[in-house]
Order: sequence, then C-alpha cells, then structure tokens
Amino acid sequence: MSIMELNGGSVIAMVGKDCVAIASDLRLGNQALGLSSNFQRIFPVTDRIYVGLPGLGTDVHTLWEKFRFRVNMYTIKEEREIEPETFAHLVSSTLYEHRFGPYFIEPVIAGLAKTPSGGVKPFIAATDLIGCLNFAKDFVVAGTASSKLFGMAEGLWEPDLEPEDLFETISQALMNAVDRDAYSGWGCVVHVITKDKIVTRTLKGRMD
Amino acid sequence: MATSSVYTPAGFNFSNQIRNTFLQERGVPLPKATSTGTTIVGCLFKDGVVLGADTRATEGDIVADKNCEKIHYITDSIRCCGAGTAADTEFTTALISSNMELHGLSTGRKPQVVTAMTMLKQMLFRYQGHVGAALVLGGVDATGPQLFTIHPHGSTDKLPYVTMGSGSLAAMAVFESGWQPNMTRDDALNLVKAAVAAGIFNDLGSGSNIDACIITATHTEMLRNVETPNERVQKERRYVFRRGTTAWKTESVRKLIVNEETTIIGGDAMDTS
Amino acid sequence: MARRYDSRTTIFSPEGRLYQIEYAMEAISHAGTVLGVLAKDGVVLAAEKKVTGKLLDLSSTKEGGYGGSGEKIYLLNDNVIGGVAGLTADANSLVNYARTAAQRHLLTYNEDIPVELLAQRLCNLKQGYTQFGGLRPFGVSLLYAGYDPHYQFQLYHSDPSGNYSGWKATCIGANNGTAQSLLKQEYKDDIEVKDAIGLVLRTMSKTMDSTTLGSEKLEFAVLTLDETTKRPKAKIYKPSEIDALLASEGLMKKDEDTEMKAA
Repeated sequence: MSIMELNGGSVIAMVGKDCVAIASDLRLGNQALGLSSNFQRIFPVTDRIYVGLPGLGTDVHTLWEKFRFRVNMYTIKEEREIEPETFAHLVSSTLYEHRFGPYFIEPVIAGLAKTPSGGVKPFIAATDLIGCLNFAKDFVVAGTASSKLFGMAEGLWEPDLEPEDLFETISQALMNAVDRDAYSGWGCVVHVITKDKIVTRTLKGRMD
Repeated sequence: MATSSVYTPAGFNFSNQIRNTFLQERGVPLPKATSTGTTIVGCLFKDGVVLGADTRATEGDIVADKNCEKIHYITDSIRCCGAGTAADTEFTTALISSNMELHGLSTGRKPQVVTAMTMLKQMLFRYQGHVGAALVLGGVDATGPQLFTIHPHGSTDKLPYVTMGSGSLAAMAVFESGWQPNMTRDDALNLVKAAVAAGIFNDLGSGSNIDACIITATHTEMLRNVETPNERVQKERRYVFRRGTTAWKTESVRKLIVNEETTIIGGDAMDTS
Repeated sequence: MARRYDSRTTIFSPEGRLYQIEYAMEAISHAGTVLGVLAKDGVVLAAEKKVTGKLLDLSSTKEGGYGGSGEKIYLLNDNVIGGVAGLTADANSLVNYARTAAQRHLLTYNEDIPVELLAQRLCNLKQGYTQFGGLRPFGVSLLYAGYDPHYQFQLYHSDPSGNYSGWKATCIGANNGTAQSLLKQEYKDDIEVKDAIGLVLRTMSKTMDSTTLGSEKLEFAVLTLDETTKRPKAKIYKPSEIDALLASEGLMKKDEDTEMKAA
C-alpha cells in the first residue's frame, strides 16, 4: 500500500473556451473503509483560482493552510490578487522546499489569468509531490484514479468547449473514472470558472 | 528577537522527515516523483554545440506530460538538458542559472561553461546522489565550444558527443556511427535529431517531440519542437455530451460582478487652468 | 545632565525616566495626525498626509491596490486597519510584522487574530526595543481599528514604550491635544458610522494646519460588517472617493479657480 492511496481521492482540471473547470470526488477513506462522503479537497485561492489537493488527508489541510498563508502575505504586500501562474510557482517552490521529506499531495491548479487587454485566459497546471510543474493546454489529472482519468479525459476532451459543455465533459470523465477506482468516488463536486461567475455543482455518485 | 517566527530560511526543509522515515520503516514505500525517462544528447561541431532532447515526462508507466521542456536556460550562451527526477533538474538548473548570473555580474565577464559544470557537480556531490539530476551541459565561451555530462553523484565527463537518460543507448548508437569531427551546423543538427529520434522510437521512457538548441559564439537558437513525429490526428467523432446529461444534486453560483456605483468628483481631472 | 542618560534606552535617569522613549514620543507629536472614532456599527480612521507635492507620483494609488497612498493607513489583516504616526521607515517594518503575526495566528488557529492580541504582539516587540542594549525604540504610534467576534468593533492605540489602550475616540500625531478635546465634547456613546464619518472629518479639518481639506492631504478608511457575509469589511478610500465624501459632507475645499471665474 502506498501512502498516496491511504485516504483515496482524485482531482481533474480541464480548459474550455474562456473558462476552466476543476472537479474532484468527495470520498475520504482509511484504505478500503470509507469514512466520509463530503471531504472537500478543492479550495478557492482567489476569486478566479481554485486548487485541488489529492493525496494524504492530513496533508490536504496542512498544505492548504500553508498556501493560504503565503497567498495572503502575497496579496497584502503586493496589493493585488495573485495570478494563476504565479500561484503555480508558489505551489511548486513550497513543495520543493520539502524535497527530502515531502507532503504526500499532488496539487492541481485551475484559474483564469488576466490578459493585458482586460480579457481572461484559461490556465491549468499540476505538480507532482515534490513540485515538478506540468503546464498542460488541455487537461491535468491527479490522485488514485489518475490512470483512469487520463484515459477518460484523453478520449472525451476537445478544444474550445463552452462552460456548459465543459461541465458535461469533466463530469462524465470524472464520474466514469472514479467508478472504476476503489479508492475514489462517493459523490463529486465540479467548479466551472468563467469571467463573471463560478458555478459549483455536486454530483450524485455510486456509494459502493 | 525582532525576527518573526514565520520567517522561512532558504534551502530545504526537513520537518516531515521523521514522519516519512517512520512510514517507510512501517513498510509504506515512498511514492515516486515525476521523472524524465528521457533521451538527451549533445554534440560538438565546427562552430559550436548542438543540444537535443525528447519531450516526454513519465510517472512510473504513465505519460505525465506529452510536451515538456528539458532544455533549460543557464546563461545566454549556455544551456543544460536534464534527465532523472524532473523537479530536481528543474530546480537545480534554475539555481545554477541564478548563481551564474550573479557570478557574471560580480566578475564583469561572460561566465564560462566549466564554471556552471563545477557549480553543478559540487551541488550534486554535496547531496550524494539524492538530488537525482543527470545533465548534459553545453555552451560556447571564451575558450570555445564546451560539452559536459554530469551524473547525479557529481562525476563529470568532457566529450565531443554525449547522451544521457534511458534512451542514451539508442542515441549513442546513432552518434557512434554518424559523428565526425568538424561537422557543419546542418549535419550536426540532423545527427542530433536522428539520435533523439532513435531514443523516442526505441526507448519507452522517451517520446513525443524533438527539441534542439544550437549554440555558437555569436548566437543561440532554441528550436522548440523542431520535429513533431507523433502529432495526434483530429478525432473522427466528437464526444460532446448533450447538455443536461449529468444530473446534479446542488448548485451554487458565485457571481464575481457586484453592482457598485461610484460618483467621482475631482481627483482625476487634470488642472488645465 | 540628561546627556549622561541619553545614549541608551536601557538606562534610567536619576528621575526615573527613559529619555529615548520620551524623544520618540516627541517625534510622533510632530507627525501627521491620525484620528480614530469607534462607532456602534464600525470604526472610522482618518490621517493627515505629510508627503505631498505636485511632482509626487500618485498614479498607482488612484486605481488598483487597496486605496490610500500607503503613507499612513494600512490594511493589517482582513479584520484590522492600522493608522501610523511617526517615522515612516519604522512604521513599514511594524506593518510588515503585524501582517505576518496576523497570518501566523490564522495558520495556527484558523481564525482571524483578535484585535487586542494583534496590538499585544506589536507591543511586545516595541517593549523589547526599550530594554535590550544597543537598540533604539520604534518612533511610531499606531491606531488599530478592528473587529473580532469577542468584543466586536474596537479601537486601540499603542506608543513607542509598548503601552497600549482601548479608546472610543482618540488621536495621535500633531495637535492631538486639540483633537482629543474636540472629540471629548462631540462624541456620543451610541454614535453610528455615518455620523462618526462626519465627526472624524470635521475634527480633522479643525486640527490640520492647512485650511483646506482634500484627497492630497487626507487618507480615510472605514471598517464595517458586510451585511451578507457578516465578515468585517475594510474599506480604504481612493483619492477620488475621499473627494466625493468631502463634497457630500460639505467640507470640500473651495475651488479658487471657479470662484475667480464666477467673480
């Protein structure tokens, strides 16, 4: 048993047309034993950035509080919100600081970056547990169902999906992947981030 | 006394080590980080040096990134290809790049490739192989074109053509049969492309596209995705679900635009009197 | 012979005084005025800016940021606004310390730092500088306008010695005596924010050396509760908003040019 599989859980993020989506399951378990069907592992960083932290349950909270600390210090000193790419590097360097004694978390970041012309640009990224950044143009996945999520997303994703279509694609990719993963599932939560609103929906999943 | 207790010093933080070693002793294996299975190569030619790399990053048997960048910037005329633990190659080259910039500013000269090589080997030796970076370092300085390999434990080689990573054997076979002294720029680039391609097609740890970088005394040319032999074709069907396919239990909408009226009086108006 | 006891903060004079602290307080009494009023449903802060001039680049303060010019009024945490009087460089260091202390509290306890505790954190630091060898005290007094669920809205003052105290309305910096006696006359116990704003502005206009009041000489901030979230909402006014506020309170400086044209 790997420590990454102790509590289970998976996260996926996808790029759409002027929007991004990030979704995760809601299970917290102790190996095969399910403990909670409402374990939030996706957190809002700013109005337009969300981070998903799949991995060891205890580190989910420890790391989130660390990120919140650093983002708050950044915001109050810079007097502006952090940009998604800057936040990705903050995550990366925080994890690499613990290169020899890592947190057992593989973060997934989704957000909308501001463009100079006043528009927004979708941004997603993921890192491994020691902070190696992966900037993808299509989708990123992490967690116990990552191998299944890779397959689902590779098959279902296509460029320039509208927010409502992106919601269907990410939901179906996630729901079907976690159904084939023993350690993930028990319901899902999906956030779709657009320029002027964030839609959060909880999905009903199998309870076995 | 005056310093805040939240100050985080530079360098590594070992605060989780006791916990993680305990887990390891209890028989829980530590998870694997992203590694670049990788084919990275470099070769000297008449006027300089050509570096080459594939663009696949793996996590065990999964392809984690299909188009990552493995040729890292050190200085304007020095670049470094990285294989091994991806985070280590990324952060090690970034640290040495930063120190090379400072070294250049304090000496007032263009830094040499051997300087970067020495900094890298000293760092890797200090960490006794725990920083898992296997590097191909190339560049042109006052002493001419230079090419090195640096192994994770800190040993180095200086050779006219080098390969590293899991695809190094396939790539070296190409170099051994095709390399000649004083090649032209185009011949060298083609040889490097062939060597990386050998890795991409014969080594499972390497794949996707070819990146190359040509460095001469006067110019550095970074050729990102110079060859894309594994382009994905357009899907024959669309797999978009009809809207409303996924049923949801709850929905909450957070509006980011709030109505706010501000009456601006003065302040911004320019004094035109 | 005060000189014998001047060189170190750690040495008492025969009269039992610490001269360096008194000098620090003296420095503050020449600094720009900072005024705070505690109301039933919020706290109001105003400050007089000393660094002015038409060549001063204020473009970054007009839009973006939290508002304010970053000279006198700072956001210390989601629930606390700070107003500083004294040496600006010392103040910056203290503001940074306060922000870090507040975030440290959030990290440890997952709640906003209580206002009094934040004042205590800074006072511990300031007191240290009056006792340890080779140091000089911070030449800064602060007003803390904050909210926490324990005591709701609060207003604190701390001085270079490390003393702090809570107030209904107070003032630090130049002419603070005048301002405090004005506040004493006009303050009502059940004052609301909308009236406190007027009280603060009127008092400021009477204490400030210059006769006219405008955004180039004034910083202004209000801490209230957000009606929907019930979380503290700190608002530091932008220059244009200050001018709009002054106009609505009837305290806008007279525009000499328009008067001349009218005449």
